[in-house]
Amino acid sequence: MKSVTIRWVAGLLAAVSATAIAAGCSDKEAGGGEKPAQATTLRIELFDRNNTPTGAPPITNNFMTKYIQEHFGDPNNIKVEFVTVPRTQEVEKLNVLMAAGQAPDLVYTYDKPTVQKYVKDGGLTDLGPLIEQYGQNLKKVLGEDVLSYGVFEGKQYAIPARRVLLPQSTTFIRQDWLDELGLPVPQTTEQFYNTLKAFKEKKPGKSGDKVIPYSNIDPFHMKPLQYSFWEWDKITDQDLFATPEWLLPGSKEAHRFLNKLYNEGLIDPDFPLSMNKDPQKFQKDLINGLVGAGTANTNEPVYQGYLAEVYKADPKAKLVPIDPFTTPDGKRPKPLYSPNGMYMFVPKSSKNAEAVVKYLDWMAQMDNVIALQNGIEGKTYEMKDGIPQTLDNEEARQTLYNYPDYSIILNGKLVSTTDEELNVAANASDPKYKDFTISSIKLGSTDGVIIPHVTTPIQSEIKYATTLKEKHDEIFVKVITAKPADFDKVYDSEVNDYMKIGGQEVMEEKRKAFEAEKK
Amino acid sequence: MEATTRPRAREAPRWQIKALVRDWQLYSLLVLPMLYFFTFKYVPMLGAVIAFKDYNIFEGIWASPWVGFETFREIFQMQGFYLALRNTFMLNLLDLIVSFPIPIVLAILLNELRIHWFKKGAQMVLYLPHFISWVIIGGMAIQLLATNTGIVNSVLKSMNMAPIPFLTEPLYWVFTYLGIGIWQSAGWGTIIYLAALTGINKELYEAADVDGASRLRKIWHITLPGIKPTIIILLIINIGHMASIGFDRPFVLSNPLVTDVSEVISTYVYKIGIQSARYTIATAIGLFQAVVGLIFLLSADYISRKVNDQGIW
Amino acid sequence: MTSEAHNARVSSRSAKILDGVIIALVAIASVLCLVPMLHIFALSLSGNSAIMAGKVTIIPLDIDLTAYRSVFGNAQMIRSLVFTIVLVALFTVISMAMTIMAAYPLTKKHLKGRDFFLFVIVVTMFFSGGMIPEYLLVKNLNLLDSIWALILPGAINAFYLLIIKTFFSSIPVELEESARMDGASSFRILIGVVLPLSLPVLATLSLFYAVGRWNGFMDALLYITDQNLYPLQLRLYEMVMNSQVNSMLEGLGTSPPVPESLKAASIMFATIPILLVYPWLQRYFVSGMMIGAVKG
Repeated sequence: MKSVTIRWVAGLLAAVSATAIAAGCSDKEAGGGEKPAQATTLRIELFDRNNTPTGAPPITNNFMTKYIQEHFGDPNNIKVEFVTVPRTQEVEKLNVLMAAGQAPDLVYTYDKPTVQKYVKDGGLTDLGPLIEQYGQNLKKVLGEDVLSYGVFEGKQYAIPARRVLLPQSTTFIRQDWLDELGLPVPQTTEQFYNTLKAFKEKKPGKSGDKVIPYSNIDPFHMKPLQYSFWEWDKITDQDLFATPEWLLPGSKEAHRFLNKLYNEGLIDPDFPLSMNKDPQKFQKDLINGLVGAGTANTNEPVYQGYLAEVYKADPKAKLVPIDPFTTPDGKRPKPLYSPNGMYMFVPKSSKNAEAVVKYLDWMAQMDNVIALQNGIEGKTYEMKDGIPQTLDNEEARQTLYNYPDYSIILNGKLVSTTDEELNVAANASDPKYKDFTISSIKLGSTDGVIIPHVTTPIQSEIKYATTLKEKHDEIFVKVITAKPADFDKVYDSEVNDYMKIGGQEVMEEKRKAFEAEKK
Repeated sequence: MEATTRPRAREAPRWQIKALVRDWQLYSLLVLPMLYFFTFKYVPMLGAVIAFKDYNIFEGIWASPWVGFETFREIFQMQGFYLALRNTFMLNLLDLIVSFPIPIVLAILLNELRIHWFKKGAQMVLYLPHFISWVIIGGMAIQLLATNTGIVNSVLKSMNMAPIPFLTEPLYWVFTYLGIGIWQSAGWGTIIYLAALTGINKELYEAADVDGASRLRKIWHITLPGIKPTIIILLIINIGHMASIGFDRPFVLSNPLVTDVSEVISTYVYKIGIQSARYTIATAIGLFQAVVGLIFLLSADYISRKVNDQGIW
Repeated sequence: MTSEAHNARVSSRSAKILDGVIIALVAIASVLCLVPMLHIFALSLSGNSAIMAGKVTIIPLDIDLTAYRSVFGNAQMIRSLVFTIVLVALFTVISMAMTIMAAYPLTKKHLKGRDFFLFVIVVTMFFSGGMIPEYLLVKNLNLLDSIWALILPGAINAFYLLIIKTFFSSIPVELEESARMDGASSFRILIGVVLPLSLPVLATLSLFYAVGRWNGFMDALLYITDQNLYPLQLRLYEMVMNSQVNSMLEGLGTSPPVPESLKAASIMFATIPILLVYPWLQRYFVSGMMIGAVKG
C-alpha cells in the first residue's frame, strides 16, 4: 500500500512541476518578444436557404466567405466561422442554440418578440458603448432612426439592419384593358371604382364571365385603400400608434366601400378562402387574364417572377403601377415599413462582442457593401450610371443568389448614403422590367406614413398579439361579406368584441407608453 | 404415506428454476427497450417542468424561477382556449364515430373481393392520399369546393342549383373536414386491418359455408370477431388521443369565416407562438393534454377489459 | 324446383348483387384516391406556365423535367437520396428489433412487473419534455450531426409496440406450449414460432416505421447541420418553403420562384418508394398462415 501511495504522489508532483515549468517558460517567451495574440474565432450566424444552385460552392466556403476572411478576418487576426441555420426554422433553431449555450457570437432574427424575450431574460450584450467606439461607419449607414428600433429597456441590445426600400404595397392595372375600353388611368378612388365597374360589365381581354376586376383582398394589401379614407386631420400621432385601426375615423367607410365592391361582384367572391393562405391564387388568376387590377407587395410581380408569366401567357397584356386611392384633399397616403430590418445581437455569453461590432462596421464601408451585394466588378456586375448592374451570367447567379445573408446590415441594395434615387434604381433587379420596378417603388412611397413606435415593450400587445390578429382577419372578412343593410350592425358588434378580447387593454397601455416616451 | 402428501422435493425447485430462467430471458429482452424509454423519453420528460416555471432560456430549466400553476391559470383565462378545447373534442369525437369505422369497412370489403388483380390494385391505390402533403390538399380543396368559384359549385350553378358552402359555413365545414380526413387516411388505415385479416382461420369460413351461412353472416360472425383485438386496441388509443389533434388538417382548411369550429388546440398553440419563445404556455398546454389523454386512455382500457376482456393490459 | 335449388339460386343472385355493390364501392373509392395523385404526377412533369394557367389535369402538359432534374441532376441531392435510403434501412431494422424485443415479453401476463412496464410505455405516448429538453439530451449524448440523432430518439413507437403486442397475444398459446415442451427457450420460441406467424403485422409495421422515417424531417432540422446528413424530404421541403419567404422583405431582389412542378415532385418522391415496396409487402398478406402451424 505504502509504496503505491508514494509512487502516486511522486508522479503527481512530477506532473505539477512539469506543468509549472512549461507555463513559466512560455510566459517568459510571450513576455520577451512581441508575439501576436492567438487568433480569435468569430462565429457568425448564416441563413441556410437550401437553394444553392447546381455547381455553386457551399455557402460556408464561397466568394463571399473568402472575401470576408480576406478583407476583415486576416487584417484583424480573426478567423471567421459561419454557423448555418435553416431559414424556415430560424426561430426554433435559434432558441435551441441559445438554450444549449451554443449560439454564435453574432446572431440575428426577424422575429421581434424573440428579441424582446431575450432582453427580458437578460441574455444579450449591450452594444451601445461598443458602437460608439468602433461603429462610426455603421452609424452613418444605419442612422439614428434605424438604431432606435434596436433599443430595449433603454439600452442598445440589438442592431437593426437598415431597410432600404420602405413601400409596402403598390396597385397596378391592366393597361391593355383600359386601352380596349378607351378609359384613362384612374387617378382618384371614384375613377377607380368606375373603372372596376366597366371591367365587370365589358369583360375586356380574355376574361369572360369569371372576370375579377380587383383582386388580392386582405387586410395588408388593402391598406392604401384604407388610408385614403382615413380622416387624417383628426388623427394624432398617438392615435396612429395606440388606437386600433377599426376605431380610427374613416375606417368604417373604407370597409363600407369594400363591402360595396364585394356585393357588386367587383372582387373575388371567394377571397376569404385564399386570403393569407394561398398567394398563388391571385397570381394564377392574374396570369390567366381574369384580374383587372390588384394590389400586391411593391415590385412583387417582378421579383416573384409572375409578371413575366403574365406576359408569356398573353403577349398583349400590359401591367402598369397606379396610385388611385385619394383622400378628399388629393393626398395618397401609403403605409411604409419602419426603416428597420433584421435584428442583430450578441449573446451575453459571447466574448467577442467587440469583434462583432468591428465586423459590422467594416461591412458598412461602401466598397464592402458593393462587394457583398454585387460581387466582382466585370465578372458579376457592371457599373452603369453609378449603379451596379448585376450581369445575367452563370457566375453572377452562383455568387449572388443569397447575398443578403452576408450583407446583413442592409435589407435591399444600397449604393449611396445620400442619394435615395440612386438607391431606388439600384434595386431594380430585373433590367427588363426596370420601369415597372421604379414606378412601383415611387408610387408605393408617395405620401408615405410610418407608424410611430416606442421602445418600451407593450406587454398586453405581446400577450394578445395572435388573438387580436385573428380577430382582425375575422372582422375584415365578416364586414366585407355582410349584406349592405347589415354592414353597420356587423361592424359595430365585431369591433366591440375586438375591444373586449384585449383591444381595449392594448390601446390603453399603448396610450400610456406613448405619453411617457414622447414627452 | 409421506411420499404422496408432500410434493416431490426434487421437482418443485426444478420447476421454479425453469420458470425463473424463462422469465430472466424475457427480462433480458426488455433491457434495451427499457433503457431506450428511460434515456430518450423519461429523461427529457423532466423538462416538462418548464410548465411550472418562468422559463429563462439563458438560466436554463433548473435555475429558472418557479411559478407553480400560474401559467395554467393564465391559459384557462385566455380568450379562445375553451373554444379551441371544445372544438378539439368535438372534431375528434366526430372523427371517432364517423371516420374510425371506415378503414375497417374498407378492409372487409377488400377482403371479400375475389378478382385478384382488382383487389391488389385497389390496395395499392387507396393509400395514396396519405402521401399528399396537407398544403396541397388544402389548395385542391379550395379549387374544388370554393363556394363561388369551386369546381363542384360551378357545376351546380350550371344546373341551376344553389351552391353549397363547403368551406365557408361552420356546419358544412365540419362535414368537409371529416370527409377530407376520411379520404386522406382511410386507405392507409386499412393496411393494419388487412394484416389482421390474414390471421383468421380459413377453416372457420369453410365450416360456415357448410352450414349455408350468407356472406353478411360470415362477416358478422367470423371476420369481425377475428379482427376484434386490433379494432379494440386502435379504438382505445384513439380515445386516448381525444385531447390532441393534428395541426395540418384544421389549419389548412380553415379561414376566418369558420374559426368558431376550426380553431383547435394545435392551431391555437401555434398562433400563441412557439416562435415567440412562449414555451411555458406551449409546454403547459401539452401537459394538460397529456394528463387528460392518459385519463381517457386508462378509462377506455378499463371499460374495454370489463366488457371484452381485452385491452392494453 | 326444389326449395334447396331455389335457395341456392336466390342466394347466388343476391351474392352476385352483393359482389357488384362491393366492387362498385371499392372502385369509386379507388378512383377518388387515384385521380388526385395522377394530377400531382402530371404537375410534376409539366411546364410552369401551363401549371400556373391551371390547364393541367391528369396529363402532363409542356413536359418539363426541371423538377426531377433538380434532384437527380444535383450531386448533393443524390447524396441526400443515398443517405436517406441508408438511414431508413438502418432505422427500420433497429426500430423493429427493439419493438419486438419489448412487445414479446409484455404478452406474458404472468411476468412480474408487466403491468408496470406497460404503464411506463403508455405514459410515453402522452408526456414529453418538448423541443428544448430533447435537443439538450441529444446534444449531451454527443449525437448532434450524426446519423444516430435520427435513429435513436425515435427508435420505439409506443403505439406500434402495442399493436405488435396485440398481434403476438393472438397467437394460440398451444403453439408456444408445444415448443416449450420440446425444450425451447423463450428466445427460440420468439424467433422460431412467434415471428414467422406474425409476418403480416411485422411487414406492416416495418412499412410504417420506414415511411415515417422517409418522410420525417423536423428532427433533422434541429439536430443536423451537416448538409451531407440531410434527409431528402428535408431538402425538398426547404426548397419549396423558400418560395413562401417574402423576398422583398428580406431584400433578396429577384429570386427565381420555385417551379410548381417541384412541389408536386416532392410528393412523388415521398410516394414512389412506397409504391415500389408495397407490392413486395403484399406477399405477406396471405391468409391462412396459422393453419399449417396448428395442423403441423
